[in-house]
Amino acid sequence: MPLSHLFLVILIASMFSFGGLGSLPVLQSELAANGVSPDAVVLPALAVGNISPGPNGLYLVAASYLMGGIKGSLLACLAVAIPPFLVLPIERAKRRLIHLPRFRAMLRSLALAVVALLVVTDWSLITHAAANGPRSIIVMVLGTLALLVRVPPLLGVLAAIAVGIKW
Amino acid sequence: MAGANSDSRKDRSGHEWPKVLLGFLRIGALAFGGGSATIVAMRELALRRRWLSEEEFLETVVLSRVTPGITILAQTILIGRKVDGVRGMIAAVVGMLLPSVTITILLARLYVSVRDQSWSQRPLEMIAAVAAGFAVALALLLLKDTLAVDRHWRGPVAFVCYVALGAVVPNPLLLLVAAVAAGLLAPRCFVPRDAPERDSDAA
Repeated sequence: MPLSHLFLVILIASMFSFGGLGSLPVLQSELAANGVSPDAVVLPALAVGNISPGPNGLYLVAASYLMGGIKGSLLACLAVAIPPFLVLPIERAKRRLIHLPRFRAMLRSLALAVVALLVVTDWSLITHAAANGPRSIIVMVLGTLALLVRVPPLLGVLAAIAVGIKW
Repeated sequence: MAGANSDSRKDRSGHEWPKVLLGFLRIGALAFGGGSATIVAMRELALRRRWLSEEEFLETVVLSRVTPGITILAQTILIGRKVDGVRGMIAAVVGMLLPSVTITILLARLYVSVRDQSWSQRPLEMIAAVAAGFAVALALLLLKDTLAVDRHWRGPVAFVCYVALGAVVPNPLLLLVAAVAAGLLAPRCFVPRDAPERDSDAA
């Protein structure tokens, strides 16, 4: 994928998301539309994003590295840094609009849709990971439980690597 | 309170951005554990330095939740700007991104260097599996938070409708546009008629 196209894909995925992994559905859709196997890029990028410090959304930088090397990841860094600056006009608009039921309903509807899309995307990730056998399913379930009980993601990834080496 | 903070920020203008840069460099390098760990570290920094009150910090959380993109970056921008205007904003974003992006790229590079080795296949499969598990857990946590805002049947019903639509609509952008339209055209399907104006509604 050309770097300019990669920049646009990451910018669009970031622009139409709310929160760290909210960009996942749009990223998968855009990668598939560009002939890139989404799961082959997304799963390792998610793992890297989870064990790196800072926001989870930086998995987009890891995904871009896998597709476009250092230049791709630096462009992705720029692409993920742009949308959050919309917080400045939103801060002004919110003060004027938050009392409007329609505005609050739109925000609520959008929040529900973003989580619903994540669930749909997760299904694709689950089926891809589960294709590697029962061990993968067990590790996946343990990964879910670990994060739910606030075990640091780095420990989860190290444990998964240990399972992969020993088993 | 807000006035006092505003005055103190004015007094500090031009002197605080290096501290903002150092504070966020530390967070960007050490806040392992994803979004939650990063927010906790930012809260600790902002309150300890007396840059923000708890109320102001909470406001940055809510505003960042309704901003497209990485919400923690939006919050970083707000905190930096509150402390030292545009200089503070740039210092905070650079401080947050420089170490975390560098570490992310190094880890991605490590992955690329070992992914074709035969010994690495099983561990990489397990990393993919645990990453899928993390994604499921994050979706569950977000779902819990989102539905907790309004404990009424309308939230789960809308959520199930969106999941069904998401499964059949090929482009997620279409679903997001439909969600915006639904909220604007049928507000009572999403918020009660006499709902109080709470910030958490927006989050």
